[in-house]
Amino acid sequence: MFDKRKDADPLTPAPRPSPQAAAAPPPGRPTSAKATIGPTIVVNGNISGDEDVVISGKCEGTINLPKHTLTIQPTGHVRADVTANVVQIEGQVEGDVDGVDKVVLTDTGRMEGNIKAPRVIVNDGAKFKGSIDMDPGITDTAKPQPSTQAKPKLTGDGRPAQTRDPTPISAPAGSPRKSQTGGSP
Amino acid sequence: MPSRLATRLLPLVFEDVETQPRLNILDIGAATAESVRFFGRYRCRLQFADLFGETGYRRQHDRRRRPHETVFDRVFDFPVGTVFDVCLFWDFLNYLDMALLRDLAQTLRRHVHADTLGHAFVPFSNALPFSSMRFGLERADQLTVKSDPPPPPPHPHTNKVIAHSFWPFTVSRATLLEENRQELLLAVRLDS
Repeated sequence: MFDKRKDADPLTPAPRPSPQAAAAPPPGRPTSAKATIGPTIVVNGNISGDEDVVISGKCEGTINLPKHTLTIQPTGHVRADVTANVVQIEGQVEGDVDGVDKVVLTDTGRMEGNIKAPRVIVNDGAKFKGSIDMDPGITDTAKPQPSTQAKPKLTGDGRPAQTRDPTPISAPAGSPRKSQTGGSP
Repeated sequence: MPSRLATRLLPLVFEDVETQPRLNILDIGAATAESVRFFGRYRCRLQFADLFGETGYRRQHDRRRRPHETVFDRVFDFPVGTVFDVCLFWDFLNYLDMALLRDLAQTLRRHVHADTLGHAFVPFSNALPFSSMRFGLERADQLTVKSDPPPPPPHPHTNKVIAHSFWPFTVSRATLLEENRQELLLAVRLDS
């Protein structure tokens, strides 16, 4: 009388929607799911997947989320090489970070390593040591709108340089040079 | 809000290099929001080496010291083949005594080419006080100056010292700014 499921077989579990039908997004559409690694969790190994990841704990190894956002929260500590579509660093990172779209180092962020991304944002207060490889991808020159008239290169004695020589200087240290221009008062 | 400082010589640096396909820039200072934003317009590799920052140097300390390497070889640990088009020293040279100044030059000698340009600040006169600043590059002709200045530099060098003791860099141009500050445009001389 009180059993509203009297038609159901007690030995047969009630039918549930399949996980795929409930969780999977339509093909070609990125999921909005977000996995969180909590502040007490320590991960050693490789992290990859098809959803955004938030790290509040510690991770060591590699992280590969080229289509998704990785957020390292202020309590998060990552010692790994990272690839993600967007990397938001609010905590600490030691390692190289490859941002497919952009990398953001917030005011609480601390990073030692190399960043490679088309766009990089470093907020005031952030601490960073390493290199940033940026490519706005607009022109063939370093600057989006280069000057149309080439200027002569400067040399130490004020003469225009004849050719560009990208070879590093390998000559042994010589005696100190005397400046041709300028001078202390 | 940071205050601002006009610069006359940095525009020359960027006018001279902007037609290159890709820039390699060494910034011996803190990574500031302004500088990263400024260089974000360029196709570039921006190397920050904030020697007074709180970010550690664990990687460098992990490895053994190589024969004949200077303290800066060890601290910077640039990848082999790294060559910079622009070196921004800000006030850093004034924190180095003569021995360290030469060490820095020796390290950078392997990482510059004939057209590398540098920029630095030095005092106009050692008889006058010279305070250090923390800079951000807002525009080619304008810097931001942060409100948390580092301690005063213990070894302020005039441009004459830089010209004589920082080979392969030499002073190409010098301009006097306010508060005993002089900005230097540095060029590289290949001949010793």
